[in-house]
Amino acid sequence: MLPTPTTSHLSFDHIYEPSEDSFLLLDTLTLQSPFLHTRFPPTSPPLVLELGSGSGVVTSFLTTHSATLFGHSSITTLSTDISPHAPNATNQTVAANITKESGCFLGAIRTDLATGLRSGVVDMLVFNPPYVPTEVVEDGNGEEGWIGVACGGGIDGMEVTVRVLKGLKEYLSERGVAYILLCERNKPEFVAEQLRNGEYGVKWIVKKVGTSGKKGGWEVLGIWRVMRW
Amino acid sequence: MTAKPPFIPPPHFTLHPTNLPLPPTTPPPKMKILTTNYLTCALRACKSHPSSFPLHFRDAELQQDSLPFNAAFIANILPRIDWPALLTTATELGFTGLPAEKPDLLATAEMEADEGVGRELHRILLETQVVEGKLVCGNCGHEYAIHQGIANFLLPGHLV
Ligand SMILES: C[S@@+](CC[C@H](N)C(=O)[O-])C[C@H]1O[C@@H](n2cnc3c(N)ncnc32)[C@H](O)[C@@H]1O
Ligand SMILES: [Zn+2]
Repeated sequence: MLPTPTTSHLSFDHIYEPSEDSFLLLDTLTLQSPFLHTRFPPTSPPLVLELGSGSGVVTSFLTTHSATLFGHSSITTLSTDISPHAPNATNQTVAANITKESGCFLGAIRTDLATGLRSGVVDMLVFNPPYVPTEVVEDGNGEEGWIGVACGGGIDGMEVTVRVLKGLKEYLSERGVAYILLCERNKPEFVAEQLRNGEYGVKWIVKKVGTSGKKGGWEVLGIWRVMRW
Repeated sequence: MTAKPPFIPPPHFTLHPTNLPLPPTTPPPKMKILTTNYLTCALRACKSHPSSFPLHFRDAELQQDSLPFNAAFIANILPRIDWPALLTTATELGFTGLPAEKPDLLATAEMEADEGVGRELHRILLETQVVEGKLVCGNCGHEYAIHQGIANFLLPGHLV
């Protein structure tokens, strides 16, 4: 396994602390490296976008370990988050872990999901969404502030993720691949079937490529890979 | 809402050391110029309008660093750059050393040459960061602020 980026320079009062879900994503992306090598060769390097980067642990991981994960360091990475605290945290984490062999980090942007990005430019999208079922999707003014925004996903925990699934056909390039985390209460099998049968505008090819065991009070989490071909 | 369960790191992660960070003086990275190759106006109505891309820099404050030249990166990234857009952006920021047409795949030797296009691209794409300023939509005039190297594309409520 590849070293996890350090986030010890951050405090986690307003930022989601890297947790089981973040680490499952890192593990899964590591296991995906043979796939990433063939899909994104150096002669046609990918633009990687992480939605909701929080601490930046995932964006930093992809940037720093580009050579291992993709087989070259010509990837470019970009991150977004709606929280006012996350872009700066992401920048700091990238800086703290970057090496001479890293890919090229283009920046952290404060925005809602991928708003402001051109259509069809994203080759690889990664999202560890707010997925806990809650009454409403918060806006940062709730009792839990921006941590509430990081965790609460509204009905079925799917309100934010559904917006991303609807947007995939617009965000992703023809060869684009999305890695999205779903928990059991998101009804992942049902969501996967909807993606496959065209309810999100494209008959997506969907595969569960990573799963956590049930441990430490966490429900089972899965990483789902979505692509056109 | 449901409380977050206590954090229990998976065993194989705690077993591994974290990366040796660079000297703590490494400043946080800021927005790179190439980012504008992928950005457009956040307003739906503008997105399909040609004048919303690229966004235009206003009052940009740049930071210039010195990084080792990476010929492979420049050669690899070149095919996927939208050249006319980069040319517009670079010119607005005062970089006038780029040719009007995208150069053919650059040979490494050619790039290693001191004053070639490769070096200029390296300077623009990798060594330059945007610290402060605005990105302005050529269609609707909306301004997106860049502060401390972070662009903000959140729209005020009445525009969403
Ligand atoms: C579960 S945390 C994941 C953080 C980090 N990527 C990780 O894996 O540790 C979800 C993140 O998504 C962000 N987020 C929530 N809603 C968002 C939205 N509409 N647009 C962009 N980011 C959002 C939150 O601020 C938070 O940082
Ligand atoms: Zn506009």
